[in-house]
Amino acid sequence: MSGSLVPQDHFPVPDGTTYLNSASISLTARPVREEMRRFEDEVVHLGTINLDDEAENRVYEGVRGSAAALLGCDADDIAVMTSATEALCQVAWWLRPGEGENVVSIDIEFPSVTYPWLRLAEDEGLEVRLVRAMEDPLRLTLDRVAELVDERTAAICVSHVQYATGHLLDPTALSELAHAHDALLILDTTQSSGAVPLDVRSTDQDVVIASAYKWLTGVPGAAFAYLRPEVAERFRPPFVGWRTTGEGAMAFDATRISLAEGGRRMEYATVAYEAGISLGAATRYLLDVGIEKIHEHDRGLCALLAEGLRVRGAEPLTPEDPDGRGTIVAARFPGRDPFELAGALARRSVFVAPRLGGLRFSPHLHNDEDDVGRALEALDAALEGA
Amino acid sequence: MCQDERMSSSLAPRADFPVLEEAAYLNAASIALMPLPVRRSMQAFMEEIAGRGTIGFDDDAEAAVYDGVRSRAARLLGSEPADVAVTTSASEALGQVAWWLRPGEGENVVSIDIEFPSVTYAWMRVAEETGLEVRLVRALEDPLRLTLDRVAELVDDRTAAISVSHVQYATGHLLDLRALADLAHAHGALAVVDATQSAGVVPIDVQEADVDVLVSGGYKWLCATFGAAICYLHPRIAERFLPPLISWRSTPNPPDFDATRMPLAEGARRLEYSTVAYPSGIGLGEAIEYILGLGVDRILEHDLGLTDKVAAGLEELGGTLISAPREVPRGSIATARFPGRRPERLVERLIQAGVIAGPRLGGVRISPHLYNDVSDVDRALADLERILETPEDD
Repeated sequence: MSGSLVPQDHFPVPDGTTYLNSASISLTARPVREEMRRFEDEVVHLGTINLDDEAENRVYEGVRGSAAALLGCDADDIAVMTSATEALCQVAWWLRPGEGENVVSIDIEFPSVTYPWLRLAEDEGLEVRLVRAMEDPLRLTLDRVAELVDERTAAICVSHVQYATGHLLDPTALSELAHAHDALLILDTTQSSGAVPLDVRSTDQDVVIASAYKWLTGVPGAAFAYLRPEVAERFRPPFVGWRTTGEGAMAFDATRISLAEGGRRMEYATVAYEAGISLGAATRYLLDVGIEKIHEHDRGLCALLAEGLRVRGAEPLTPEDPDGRGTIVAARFPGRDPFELAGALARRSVFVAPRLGGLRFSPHLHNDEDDVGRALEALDAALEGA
Repeated sequence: MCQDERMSSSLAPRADFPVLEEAAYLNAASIALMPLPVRRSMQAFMEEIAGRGTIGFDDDAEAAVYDGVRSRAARLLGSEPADVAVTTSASEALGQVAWWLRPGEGENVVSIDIEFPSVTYAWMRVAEETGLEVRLVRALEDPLRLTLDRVAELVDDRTAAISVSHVQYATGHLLDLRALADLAHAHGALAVVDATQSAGVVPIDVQEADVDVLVSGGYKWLCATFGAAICYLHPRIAERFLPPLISWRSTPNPPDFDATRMPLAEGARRLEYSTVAYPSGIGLGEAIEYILGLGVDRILEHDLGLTDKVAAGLEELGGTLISAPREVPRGSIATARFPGRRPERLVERLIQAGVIAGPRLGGVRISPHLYNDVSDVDRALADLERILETPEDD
C-alpha cells in the first residue's frame, strides 16, 4: 500500500504539496475534469440547441446511473440536487414533524444535518434531541443515539461518518433502531460516499444523501439523494418548480402540479451542468478504481496518521477501532490553537483543516505514504516552532 | 444613425458568441448564449477548485466567495449589495419565500394562469398544506388581455402576496413594478416578482419600484448559466425573513460550524445556505458586468427593435400574435400561433434549418438578445416562410 491508488498525473498538485483535505473539498481527477471540459466545449459549439435533451441524458442520467451502481439501487431511486443540504431540507420540510414529535441527531454534526430540524422546530414545535458529544467526542456510540429515540421519534438524521472526528455509525444498526420505532432514517453520507462502501438495500436505508465535492471527488454544485421506493411514493416535495413534473418544457402548466415518478420528484430546478457532469463522471471513476480498494487504501493511510499522531502525544478525536471510523483522522494538541497549527502546516504546503478544536487529516485515493510522512514532518516543525 | 442601422448590427461583439456562425440563435427567453469572456472566468474558477481544492480557497475565502457577485447584482437592480443573495435558482428563492411566508386558511396569493410554473407552484404546494387559496388571473384563453387591472380584481385584504413575473415568459407582457407594489402594499400584501424574463433586458430599479422580493434566474437574459440566480430582499423583509433552507453559510460567521445554534447572517445573505456551484455564481457576476458594460437601456432598445421586426414578420406570414404588441410595455419576446400548424413541429423544422426558437403556449416564440442582428431575424423569417409553404408532415 505504499503508492497512490491512481496515476499521479490524474491529480496533479504543485510539487511538494501534500493535500490531505478531501473532507473539505476534494481534488477532481484529470479524466473527470476532461469530461467536464468536453461537455462545456460542446455547449460552446452547439450552443444550447439541444441542451435540454443532452443535459437530461448526460447530466442527470449520468448521475443516476453511477449513484445507483455505487449504492446498489435503481437509477429511478436517485434524485440530482444542487447540494446535500437542499436535499435534506426537501425531506425535512416534507416530513415537518409537529408538537410532541422529535427528531434525533448529534451536537457535533455538520450544521446541515441539524439546522433543517432546528429551523422547523421554531415553527412547528417539534423537539430536536441532540446526543451530547461535544465534551467527549470519543464517547459517541449508537447506544447514546438510541437513548434519545422513542415512539414519538419521527426521524433519526445523522451522518454515516462524522465530518470532524471520522466517527462511523453502523448503517444497519441505525436503520434497525429507526424502524423499531417507526421512525425514518435519514443518512448523510457526504463524508463516506466514495471512500466507504454502502449498500442501501442490504442495510435497509430510507434516505441517503451525499454531496459531490468531498470523497466523491466531484465539484461543488451537485449532490445525489436516494429515496427508498416506498418513501418516494409518499414523498411530496415542498420545494417545487418546472422540473418537478418530469415532463419538460412542452408540458408547462402553471395551474397544476403533477409529480415525476421515483426519486426524481425531488428535483425542481436545474443544477449547474458542469457540477452534475462531475458528479456522474467522478463516481464512475471511483467505481472503476473500486470502492473496496479505495476504502482499504484510505484506511491504511489513516492508520499511519493515527499512529503518528499518537506517538506525538496528541489527544485523538477519532475512534481507535478501524471499524469505528471512516477515512478521517483528527486529534487535539493540548495548549495549541488548531487554526494556528493548520496555518503553520499550510505554510509548509500541507493542507489539512482545523475542526472541533483539533486538526483533521483526510487522505484519499491520490495520497500515498510519502504524503503522510511529509504531513507528520511538517507537524513536528509546526509543534516545535511554538 | 437611424434605428434601422443601429439594429442591423449586434450590440455585443459576435465573436464573443461563436455559435452564431452556425445558427440564428433567437432563444434567450429559454437559455441565452454566454459570452466567451464570461465562460473563461467560470472555467478558471472551476479549474482552481477542481484541481487545487482548498489550497487557494480556505473556509474564509469560501464564506466571501459571492461578495463580488452581490455588488454587481446591486448595480443592476439599484439596491445595496447587502440586499442581494445568490441562490441556486429562481425556483429555490421563490420556494424559500413561500415556505417562510406560509399563508394559511383564509388567506390568498394572487398570480396568473399563464405564468412560468415555478412562479405558481411554490404557492400551490404550500396551499396543499395550509389551505391557502391561490387565485390565478385567467389569461390562457386570451393572453393579449392580460393587464394589471385583471390582477387587481383578485386582490383583497386577505391577500398575503402577489407573485407574478415582471415579463411573461410566453407572451412578453410586462407589468409595471411600481404599480404592482402599490397594489400589493395597499392591501398589506407582499410584491414578489420573478424578473427572470426581464433582468438583463429591461431596466429595473428595485428601490424606485418598492417591491419586496425580486428574483431572477441567471441563464436567460443575464447570459450566465445554470446553478446561480439572484434574489433581492427589501431590507424591511430581510430583517424578519427566516430562511427555510438553512445550513452553515446562513450564519454571520460561516466557518464556525456549530450544529447546536443557528444565528442568521444580516441582510439577504441569509438566503444563501450551502456549498453550491460557485463557478456558476462567479460567471453570473461576470455576465452582469458584461451586461452593465453594454448598458441595459441600450440593450432594451436594441432587443425591442429586433423583436418588433420579428413580430411584423410573423404577422406577414399569417401568424396570430399572442405576445404583447408594440404599443404596450414588454420584454424581448415575439410569439405567434399559426392556425392548423403545431408549434412543436414548426420549431423542430426551424432548428433543423439552424434557427433556434422555442414552442410556448401554442405558438412559436422568438426572443432576440444583445448578440443578435438583423441578419438573424431575416434568416429566421425566411426559413419559417419556407417551412410554412410546405404542409405539415407527421
